Amino acid sequence: MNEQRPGLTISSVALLVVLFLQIPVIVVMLASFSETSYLTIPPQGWTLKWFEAVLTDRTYIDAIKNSLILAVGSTTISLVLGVAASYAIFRKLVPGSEALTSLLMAPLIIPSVVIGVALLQYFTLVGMRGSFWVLLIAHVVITVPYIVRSALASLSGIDLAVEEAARVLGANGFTTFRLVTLPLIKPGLVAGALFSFVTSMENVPVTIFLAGPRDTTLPILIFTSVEMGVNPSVAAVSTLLIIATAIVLLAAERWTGFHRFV
Amino acid sequence: MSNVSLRHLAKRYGKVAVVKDVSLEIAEGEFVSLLGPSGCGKTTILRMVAGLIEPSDGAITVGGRDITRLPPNKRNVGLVFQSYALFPHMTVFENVAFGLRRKGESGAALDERVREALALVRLEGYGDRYPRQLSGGQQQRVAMARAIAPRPSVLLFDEPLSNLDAKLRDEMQIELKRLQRDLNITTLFVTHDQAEALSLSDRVCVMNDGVIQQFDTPEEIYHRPATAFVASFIGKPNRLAGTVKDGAVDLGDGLVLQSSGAASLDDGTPVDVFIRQEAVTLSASPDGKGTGLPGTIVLRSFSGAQVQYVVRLGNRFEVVVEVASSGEGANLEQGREVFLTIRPQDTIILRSGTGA
Repeated sequence: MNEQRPGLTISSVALLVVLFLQIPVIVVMLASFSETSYLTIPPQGWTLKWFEAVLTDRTYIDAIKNSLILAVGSTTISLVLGVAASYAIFRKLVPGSEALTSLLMAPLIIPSVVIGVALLQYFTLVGMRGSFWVLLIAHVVITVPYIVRSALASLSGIDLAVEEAARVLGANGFTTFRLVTLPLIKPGLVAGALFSFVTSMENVPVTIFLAGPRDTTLPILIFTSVEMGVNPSVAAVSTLLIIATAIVLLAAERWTGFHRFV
Repeated sequence: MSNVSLRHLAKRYGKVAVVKDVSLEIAEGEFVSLLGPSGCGKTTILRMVAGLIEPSDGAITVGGRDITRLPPNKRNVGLVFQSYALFPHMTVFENVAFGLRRKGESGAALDERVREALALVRLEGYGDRYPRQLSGGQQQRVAMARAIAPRPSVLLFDEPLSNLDAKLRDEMQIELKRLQRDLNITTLFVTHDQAEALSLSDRVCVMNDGVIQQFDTPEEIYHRPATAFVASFIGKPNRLAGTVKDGAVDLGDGLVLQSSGAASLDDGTPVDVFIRQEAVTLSASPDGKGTGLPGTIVLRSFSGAQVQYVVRLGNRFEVVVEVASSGEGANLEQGREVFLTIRPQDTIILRSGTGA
């Protein structure tokens, strides 16, 4: 078959689909510049005052800080635990690897609300309710599947003989993992870590059950703000979030070419 | 540089024995091939020596040191993989330096050792490339440089040439042999290619079904195979079954084959006679002494330097005969009656039932 550029029809349909998917994003971004004190499209006048309002509001700053700490913390812990678990599963170092994989991936399938309620009951029972650590543990539970999935996929893509070569050349098990296995699965792990980060960053259904009054995260704050009456500062903080996410994704793609692993 | 000895080595997976009681003594600096069909256990033996598979039984010593239970990183062996197994995220330099760094080598001494190893495989100046930027033959040479750089006491090769095309394989064979002789490293080489094994090795160990069939020089293996398996595996000869009668072999249908080994066997002993395709002479008329076996040409095929015939002997046998296309008996047509002459010393005679 000769290589053809896609026809006009297909291109237009594809463009329309992309536009349709992006409409909410565009709407939110436009609304954040409106001078009115309610959300409106198209924006009435242009102003940056809502951005100023967000960036000078302690409530928002604290929520952003909480969210970032949670996302970075839970992704780091998930990376360590997820990679270790995936390696053990992949290498059949533990029995029941199929069952273990399903167990680790379960939070992807179980509805978030159910996980939230279940964790709330559990932490109430053990008397840890309301602590920041509870939130961190919960976020590890919901982010670890993304790490496990990308780690297992990356591991199955490397030649086993490469690890054996390192062993024969004098590297012990840990050195082999550090110098050979880990660098080879890194692009996949970056992709997994990004998913994990974003998942933690945007999570409402689990967090809302567990967050104490001082641990409000950004999505929870947005959620409650919207309930209490919307002004464009919600749109402004959303716009900031969208831009930050886009920058991180572009940078990661540039560094690692991770799109192959998504 | 050390001698290697395998004593009563065995490997079982559940009830399946892959390697059964293999004992082998390899002298210092010797080049030994493990030759056999796939599944004969040769790669398993190699991997046990490297420490990648734990033996079920037996012991492995290198230079008198028992390494049977040592992890691979404590064995000081060099291994060249069939897939090369280069580190794809490291440059050629770092690949070769990997083993040296694990031994604590660094700085100028490391640079020097890496340069030396790359020079040995004629890849000077390739240090900055990545494996994916190299051809198959070059990757193969990097794999060799990486294996020899830390000066291992034993070099192990796992079918290293099987992924190369025929021409490159011949070149690499010569290079490999030269390298091994120059470095004088004890070498264990696994292959299923008999020509490769015969031309490279000081001694060849032919294996089948987890058992050593014969361990000897290439000449002995070729000319004096110890078992029917070795006789039929090396050189793809014709195999004729018969019984000993008056110092010759009776093949039935009135066919009697003179064989120099038959004299020492009792009359009536069932035997297998192996005759190589190139050891037979064809002629259109009897040789006058009455020793030629009469047959009929069933098929003739011309392949350049050689002509191959399939000749029917009596009712039971078809024999493949290969003659030089420029020599005598190269132009006999299909269906023709011919006479086969085989010198008695060119026959290999074995009692029936010795090996496969």
